Amino acid sequence: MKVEFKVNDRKHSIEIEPGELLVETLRRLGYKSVKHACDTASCGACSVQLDGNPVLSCRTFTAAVDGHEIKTVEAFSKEGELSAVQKALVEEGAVQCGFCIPALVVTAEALLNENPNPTEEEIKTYLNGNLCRCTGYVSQNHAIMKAAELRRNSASVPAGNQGELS
Amino acid sequence: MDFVFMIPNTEEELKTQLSEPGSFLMTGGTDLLVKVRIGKIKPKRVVSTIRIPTLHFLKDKIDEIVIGATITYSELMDFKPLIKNFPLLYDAIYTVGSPQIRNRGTLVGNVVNASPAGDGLLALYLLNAKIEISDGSVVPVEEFVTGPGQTALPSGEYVRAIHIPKYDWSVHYFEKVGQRNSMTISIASVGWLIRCKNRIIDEFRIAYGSVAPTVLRLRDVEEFAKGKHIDEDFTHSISKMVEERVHPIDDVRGSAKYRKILCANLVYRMIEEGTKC
Repeated sequence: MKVEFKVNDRKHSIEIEPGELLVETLRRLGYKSVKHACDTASCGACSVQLDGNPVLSCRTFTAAVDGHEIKTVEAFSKEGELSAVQKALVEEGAVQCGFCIPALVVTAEALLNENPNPTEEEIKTYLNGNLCRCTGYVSQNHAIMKAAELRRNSASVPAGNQGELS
Repeated sequence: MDFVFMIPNTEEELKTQLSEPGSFLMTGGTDLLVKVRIGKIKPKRVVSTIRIPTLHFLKDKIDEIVIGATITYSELMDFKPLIKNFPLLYDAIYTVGSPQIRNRGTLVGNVVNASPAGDGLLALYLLNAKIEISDGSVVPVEEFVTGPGQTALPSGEYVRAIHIPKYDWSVHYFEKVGQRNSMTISIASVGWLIRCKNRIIDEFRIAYGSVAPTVLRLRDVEEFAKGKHIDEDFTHSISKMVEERVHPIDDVRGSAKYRKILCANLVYRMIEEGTKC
């Protein structure tokens, strides 16, 4: 069957198997930042944004996203410039092996769009589906707090491009 | 995966496509696709409800709210009348999975899955929710769920909506005990609703999850509680009754013995809760 959808603002029109999962399609299209890991809706490493909301691409049929918009981690850096979330993760030492990070960024960006001023508790709750086996989460929570502050303080951020700091 | 995936646009099309044998209904797929992946289910056809506009609605009526089949947990949590009238249901679905799961999963899916550990399902049992089926019938959730993973849904039919009657409660409580805080399936869960004044109970409902083949409403405990004063003696009696009535099994999440003790102990949360009236 044929489907059409956008990934990071780029239109894709492709032929898929009816039972094909979004994670498989995205990786086939070259979006290898989307990880195929636990495959049982447990780890969150395959998270992508579907129309702005984080979902698990390993439990979403590609056929079901026909006509919709997907965002992967690549959507949040602009011309090599990292987003506030990405910068903060690097600065806080919140990235070790890095496997969970693309999905963590995708989820954290959605959190900060929904709630620009989250408490540490709200961050923990929102990210409870993104497992990380390296960091123990403390550095990641600090990074997201920091990114939230950076985003709030950056008055020159144009609408719809909040991830970018000028 | 070797099956046909269909996305009908209307309820008429859905009904036609469901009439083929070996068809499975799917909305968010957060549960079905896990079962397919581990080989527990081998569907010939998966029929998705996601593109049917007449199943995507939320209604706030004078005496009830009505939740359409394709409303996700996230959409439901954003629905203001839910937290205002049914904070118990809000608390229960807040514990479901993660935002990723709640953005796809649905409360109707939770009902049709009929897991004894269904968090939303436990709240629906307590709230005397009714299930509207596509053949026009409306049945209480307790009659709809007939066993673990089993329902009274006739073959070829689907659930259209959930109806939850409004009622004023003084106290609501939900707690899920799992092996960890996040993304957890309950070892045991409990919920209660109390209508009371000066700590004297006027009306009481209590239910447990994961400790029987279905969610368990303890009707005789509810009857016993009427007119009683919420104090330490009262909670001792309730705790003892609960221990005798739950019949959990040993499984990967916990032993039957642990679950029984846990259920009895959870009752003591009521002492603090009772002070709210």
